[in-house]
Order: sequence, then C-alpha cells, then structure tokens
Amino acid sequence: MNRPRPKGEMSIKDKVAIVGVGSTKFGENFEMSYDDLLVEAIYEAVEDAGIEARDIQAAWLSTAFPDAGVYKGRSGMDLADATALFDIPITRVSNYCAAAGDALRNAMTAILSGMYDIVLAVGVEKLRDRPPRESLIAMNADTGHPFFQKGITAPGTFAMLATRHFHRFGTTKEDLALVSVKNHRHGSFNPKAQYGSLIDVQTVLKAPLVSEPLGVLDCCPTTDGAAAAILMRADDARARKRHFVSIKGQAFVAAGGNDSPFYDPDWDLVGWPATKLAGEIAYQQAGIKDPLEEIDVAEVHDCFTITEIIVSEDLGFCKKGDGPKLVRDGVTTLGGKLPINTSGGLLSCGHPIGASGLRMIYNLTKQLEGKAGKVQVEGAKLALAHNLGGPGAIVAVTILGAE
Amino acid sequence: MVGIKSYGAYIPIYRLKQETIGQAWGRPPRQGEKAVANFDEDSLTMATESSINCLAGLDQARPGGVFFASTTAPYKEKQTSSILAAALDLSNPIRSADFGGSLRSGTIALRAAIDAVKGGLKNVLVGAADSRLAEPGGDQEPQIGDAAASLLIGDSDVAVEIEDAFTICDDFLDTWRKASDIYVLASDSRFSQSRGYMRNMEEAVKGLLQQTDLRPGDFAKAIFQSADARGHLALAKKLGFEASQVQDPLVGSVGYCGAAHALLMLVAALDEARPGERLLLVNYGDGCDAFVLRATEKLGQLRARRSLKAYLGDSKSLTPYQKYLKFRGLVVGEKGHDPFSSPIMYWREQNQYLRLHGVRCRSCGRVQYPMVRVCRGCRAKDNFDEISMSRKGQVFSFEIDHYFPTPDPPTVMAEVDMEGGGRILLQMTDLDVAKVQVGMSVELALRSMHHGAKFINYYWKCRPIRGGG
Repeated sequence: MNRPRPKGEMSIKDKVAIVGVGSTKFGENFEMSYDDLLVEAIYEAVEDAGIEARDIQAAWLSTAFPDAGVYKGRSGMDLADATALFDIPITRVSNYCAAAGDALRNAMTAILSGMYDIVLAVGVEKLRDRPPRESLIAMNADTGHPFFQKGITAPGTFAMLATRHFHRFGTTKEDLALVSVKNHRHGSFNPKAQYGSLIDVQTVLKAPLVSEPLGVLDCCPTTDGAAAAILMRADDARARKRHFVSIKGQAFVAAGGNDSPFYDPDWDLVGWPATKLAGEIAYQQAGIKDPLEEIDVAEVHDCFTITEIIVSEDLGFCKKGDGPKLVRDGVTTLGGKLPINTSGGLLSCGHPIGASGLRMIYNLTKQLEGKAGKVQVEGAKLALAHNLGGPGAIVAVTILGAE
Repeated sequence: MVGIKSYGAYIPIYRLKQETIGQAWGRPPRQGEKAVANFDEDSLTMATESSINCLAGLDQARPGGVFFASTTAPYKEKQTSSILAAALDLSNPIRSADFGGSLRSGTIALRAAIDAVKGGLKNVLVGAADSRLAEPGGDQEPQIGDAAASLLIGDSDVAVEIEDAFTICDDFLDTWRKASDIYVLASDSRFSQSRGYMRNMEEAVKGLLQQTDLRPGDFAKAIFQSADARGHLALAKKLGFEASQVQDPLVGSVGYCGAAHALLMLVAALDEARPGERLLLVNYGDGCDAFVLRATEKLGQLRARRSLKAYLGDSKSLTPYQKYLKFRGLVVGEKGHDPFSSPIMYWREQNQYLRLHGVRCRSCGRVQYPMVRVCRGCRAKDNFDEISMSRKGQVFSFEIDHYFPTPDPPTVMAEVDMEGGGRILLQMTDLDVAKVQVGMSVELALRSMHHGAKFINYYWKCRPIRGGG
C-alpha cells in the first residue's frame, strides 16, 4: 500500500543533547512503589546531568498501562506528586510499549521549539503489585474490544509473526532460542537487569509454552522499573563542558491501529512497516547510508525473540529473512560487528512497558560515554534505539551520537 | 402444497462416550456415545449452524419468518429467533417467534410454520436445538444429547410435501424442569413410557391414519421420536409397522436431543429418502404431533448439502469427563473473568458482528473488515458498499495461546484470509490443535464468546471445515 512519506522536517541532527540519564534496577521490585521508581530514576538522571531537580522546566511522563498496574500514571499529576515537581507543565504520554520513545520525542521537540532549556522524559511502569495473569493477561482477556483480538495475548501477537516467518523463511525455534541465549548472556553483565543468569538453547526450547511457537524464555518477563533522561539544547550542553550525547535522528511512526493490522490483508506478517519507515526517516536525518556498517551498538525492542529477528531485518541490518543468520553468525553478539541489546534487552532486563524506550536511551548513553562496563563496545560513536508498541504499528527510532 | 423446501442438521463435534461417563461414576460401561456441545456452543449457535446448512444455496428463497424451538433458549427473557435472523443475515420484514417449554416444540413450531405459510407468509425457517443438562451421575445423563435441525417451509418447489397433520395435547409429567431447576427431572420411567409415550403416540398415529385413510404399509419410513433405543420399536410393533420401516432414533450416536430430536430424525430420514416415498413423522411431549410427508423429485437436488452422516463421521471424543463438567460450567471455584462489552456497542455495530458485514470501497474495490469510514487503500471517505463477508477462508498464520483464559486451553488464534477479500483475526474452535497449519481451509461458526456486560456476546470463530465440506 502506498503511504505518504513525511517530508521537509527541519534538520534535527545534533541540536538536542541528552545530558543525564537514570534507571532503577529492573525486576520484581516488591520493595518499591511507583513513586519510589520515579524518584530513583529521576534523581540519578538529575545527578548525572549535574543539575537540580527544580531546574526542570517541563516533563513528559510515560506510563503505558496505568490500569494494568497500580492506577498511577493516568496523568502528569502523578509525576508532580511523586517528585514535588510542582508548577511546571507535565504531560502523560500513552503509546503502548513505545510510550517512552514518544516521551523522549516530545521532550526533544520542546527543546527544539526553544521554549524550554531543561526538560525531563521519564518512563515508569509498576506492574508487579499484581500477578502477571491479573495485569497484562487480564488486559487482553478483560479489556479491549469485545471481539477483535479476543483470545490473543501480547506474546500471541508476536507468535503470529513467528509462525509466518517460519513458514516463509524456514526459521526455527532454535533460531529464536539463540536470541534469548545471546540477550541473557548480555544481561548477565548488567547489574540492573531482571535476569542475571546464563541459559542455553536446550533450556529455551524446553521452557513451558506460552504462545506457540514462543515459549516462556522467548518472552520478556513482567517487570517493575523506571528510566529517565534530561535534555538540553546541544549548544547549551557544549557550553557546560560536561559529558553528553546528541540526538542525530529521531522518528516516530504510527502505521496503524491496535486491531487494524490484523485485519489488513496486505500485511505479510514478517515485518513491520512502522519500523521500516521510522528507520528510514531516522537514517536520513542522521545521514546514515549503511546501518550495519555505520552503527556501533543498538538496543532494539526484543519483547520476544522473534521481534529482534524481524526488527533487525526491518532496520536494514540484513535482508528480509536473514535475521536468524545475523544472530547465528554472531554479528549481533558482544564483540560482533553490530552488537544488539548489550544491556540484555527486554528479554533479560525485563519490560516495564512505559520505561523500556528510555531504558534503552540510558544504556546507549552509557555506551557512547564509555561507561558501559563489561558490555562496553570499544569506541562506540553511533547508537540506535528502537522502541515498538502495540502489534508493531507504533515505533520510535532514535539515533544517538557520542560527543 | 405446503412442504419442506430444504433441511439441515447440526451435530456438535464433541462426543461423550458412555464408557467415559461410566468410568467417571463407577458404573458398568454402556455402549455408544452422545453428542455434546463445545464450551462455546448453545442452542442458538447450534440452530444457526443447522440453519446455515439448510439455507445453503437457496439465495432465492430467503425466509420471511424465523421460528426457533428449544427448551434451552439461551435467554429466559429476550427472543432467540431474532438473534438467529440476524446471524443468518436476513432482512426485514421478518416474523420471528420462539417456541419453548415442550420437548415437542420443534414440531409445534413446524405446525405454526405450515399455518403461517398457508396464511400467506413466504418461506418460514424452523430452527430447533436443545442442549439440556442432566444431573452429573444421574439416570438422565447417558441419554441426553445436544444437536440442532432446521427446515425451510414454503409452498413452492418443495422437496417434501406435508400432506396432512394431526395433533393432540396432553398434560403429563414425563420430564420437566421448574423455572428454578438446572437439571432435567423425570417421573418413574415405566410409568412415563406406558402412560405417556405409548398412549400418546398410539392415539396420535391412529388419529392421523384415520384422518388420512392411510395404513402402515403406505409409508416407506416411520419416524417415531424416541428418547431411548426400544420404546419406538415396541410402539411400531403395536401399530403394525415392520421393523424395517422404523427410522433409527440416533440415541446411541447422538443422544436424545429434546426439542430438536424429531426434526433431527426427519433430516436423517430425508438424507436417505427417495422421491415419491411417503414418510410418517410423530413427535412426543405434552401430547403429540403427527405428519404425513411425501418426498418429491426436488429432494434429490438438495443432496449436495452437508448430510447428517457427514456430521456423525466427523467427531472428537471429549475426555476426560472433568472436561465435560468444565465445558458446562459445572466446576466451581474458578476465578471469574469479566470481559468488557456493551449492549450499546453490540447494537450499534450489529452488522459487523452478528451479520458479519464488511465494506467494499467504491473507489478502489478494497474489501475491508471491520467496517471503516476512510478507505485504507485509497483514503476515500464514506464511499463504500456494505457487503456480507464470506464465511469461508484460509489460515494465513496462527498462534497457540496457552495463557488466555478458557475452559479448553490452548486458544488457537488464526489470521484468516476470507474468500472474496478481507482478513479477519478469529479464534479457532472444534479443532485438533496439532493439525492446524498455514494454508488450511476454515469456515466460520457463530459461538458464544463470553458474557461481558452480563449478556451473551455472540461472534464468529473459525474451524476446520466439518465433514469434509
């Protein structure tokens, strides 16, 4: 289907800086409330930026599913309340799993507008005050349209693509398992990841089935967590003579609805048009011609193993159908040409829905500042964050560069 | 002459073996099996299936009346025949009526349909279905089955002429359920067999034979509704019919299906009948209805439709017994699951749910489901023809969900490319999970999805094509 392509936006390359980032430990944070998570992430980011919290002039709060969690995050008020950030504009951003990527975009455009000097984008999700069956599964079973998608759960949404990818390209469950093995290994180096242990292919294959062909180790867990970023104009950041990274490109695409992609006979179910388009726009902004060669490190939305494979294809790291080969050949493993999800990704870090897109920004900022510890990609200069939501119909792609 | 223009049956895919019931309750195993509704089926969905079957290929004979007969209507208050009319995508003017209470209500509806056609109504669909609940472990349990049968009654091009009919009414306590009862209750079986069944059936058959001046030897088949495998044989003998004339009552394969049963037996007989043959149909329950039927040359032309034998030959064993209890909602203690729904939304968007309508863009021809205001292909606004979506398609992809709450896990979801365009995401039902594959052909079946907002949310699922199509 022909879709009109966005054109003629102002150049955003190197105009906005991320001057501070923060992230809580991701996991079953039974000791922490929604407010605790916000405070932890924001104050780490504030300290990293070398500012005071009261310097923040506007904020965007990303919580994807307040009603699946603790009913917090329905509005910006919940951020003001938790952190005493009173008397400034705060907007709650709701865009499914891509909400944090969208919060970052909103913060970025606010800086670009010139209206504010220092802004905050923060994502938080507090899911584990309830068992997973009562949060995300209940969301599919009890809320949503009475008939459309009734019977599907989040893993099922992606399993539908796995079946088709298997059918078209001969992809196997072993291919998927390799993604999980890789990301769990990466995550074992990340003290903030939910999972810290190594797994092997057989363990993934023998894990209980969730949404066939996906088993439980093909799926990210249900997680609590928050991540934050402080943004300024790049010129202001340079003048401060402190560390920062700059935004080279940023695209957000809503290519369909939450139900409608499943009712589109043109969808091949082996790719996401939103990812492809957002990637192309962001590459254009950043001046990237060959992403595999030019990008040093990437965090992509591996909510499920199949997602990383398909996203790698859609982002042009390989041709369609070759995603499994990219993993098998070690291209995307630490030490490979383009390490993907050196944090451990959603599979190992966990996926506090509204926080994940900013958690990626946290990890990539650390990479570009040379502070990524055991997973440091030597000399990383250019990084990509890919944050996807709904049935893959909304996507944020952000390109970051080292300064 | 008024007669049957078309007919169709429906037998759910699941069979509960008598052996399974016997094992569950520590009783000596009996022979045979009975048909039981899937967890998502009820009398309305089964009647929809038999009616779709009945109306297949008869686009020129759309009914002006829809009569539904059952003792297990899904609603106590709210008409079922109007739901059936919508599910069959029939348009007004329609006369809808529900018949219930009596196990004879299938033929009571048939008599009413005959009178309505004689009174000028063009084509009346009679859909009968029952899914009665016997007390688990009780005497009734081995006997009661679930099924549906439909007839299209008209006065032209009939496949079976209805030559005459005779009815008696009798207040007799054979089986019953008070308004508050869940399970079927019954009198002493020897009492009800002799003073109820035999006495009523005899009186009605004799009355009809006298009225028509016909003799037992004039009938190729005698269809004596029977709740067991013996009563009708004793009756036949007493009335002077040969055993070879007597239609098998299906009780060892389907079970006794209440209000649907006489029509189900009639469908079985019509599947085998030859033009010119005369059939006797006698139904029992609070009296009797007896009919003289005669097959015409048109009967042979209906044979392309799905036969009762096709349904009998395509079955799955429901085991273990606990699964049956879960299907019927008789396992307590499970946490409720409360899906969002809205009677307002269900009404506003009825055309795309019960009627399964989509749209075709007048500008670019793209078929779209659900209905949209702006074309996803060419972006033309409000320039569509509303169309009926095909109810057949092919699986483009699927997934097997082990966590979605259901009495019958796992839940298989399929992306189905519909014949004639459009793609619909549907739950699969009546399937063998191991046999699902990309490219398989499926047909749509109306099912009860859930009880969100405290009403029955009927919508379509898909399933492997029953009985080879």
